[in-house]
Amino acid sequence: MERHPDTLRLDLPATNKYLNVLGACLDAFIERINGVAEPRITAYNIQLAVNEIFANIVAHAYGDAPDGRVDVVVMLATDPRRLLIELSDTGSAFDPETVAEPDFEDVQIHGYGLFLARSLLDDVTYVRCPDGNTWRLIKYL
Amino acid sequence: MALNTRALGNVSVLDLQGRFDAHIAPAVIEWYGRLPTAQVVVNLAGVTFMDSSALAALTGGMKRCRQRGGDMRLYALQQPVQVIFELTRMYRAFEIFATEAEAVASFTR
Repeated sequence: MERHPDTLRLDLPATNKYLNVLGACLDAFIERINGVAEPRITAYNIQLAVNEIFANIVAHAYGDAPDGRVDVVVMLATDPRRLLIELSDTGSAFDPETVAEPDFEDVQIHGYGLFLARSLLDDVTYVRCPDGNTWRLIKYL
Repeated sequence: MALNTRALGNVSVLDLQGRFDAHIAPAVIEWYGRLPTAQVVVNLAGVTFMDSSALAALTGGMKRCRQRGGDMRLYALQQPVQVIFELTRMYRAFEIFATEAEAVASFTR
């Protein structure tokens, strides 16, 4: 991702304990962007989507192991204006193709995380890299 | 996240405040294990954020209550939190009320 001067970069421990920190940073970043339609709802939905990907990394890439890290990069791109968010980890590979769509006819307890991220954002891409995984998220603003 | 419990007759009321996410969900699941009743009402008036782990905690609790002959009912969902119920269509699985009085009274219908 080409870095804009206003790019935000977070290096977070891979634990759900820091979901609130990630959420607060995203909220504050989006709050600084002028002219966002329904800014509170937009910020909430982006926060929820990124929360789901982060929690997915904690549970699946690192298997709740305590020493992993998640590198989060947030930047505002232009033409068209969009928020780009990358989450990178050094954990196990993940195959999004193996994740089934939720069965809405059943009262399903788990399996909504990736579905929610895809529903709330404009693009969710997973890339397996030599040294880990990267999730690239896009939300047009 | 603040978690408080109350008893209203045979109904256990769980008051949740703040952010309800994957970090908090295990504490809520643990709370179910200590419940004296299978009739549960969850007050979401103070919940400002909910993720899929929180939803899973509620869904698991609701299933557990129903297996024991009771139910888990929700009330006072705030507008931003409703998005997760709408996208996952979980509003169809839960009985959701506007007020605590309505939610508690629903057990005596």
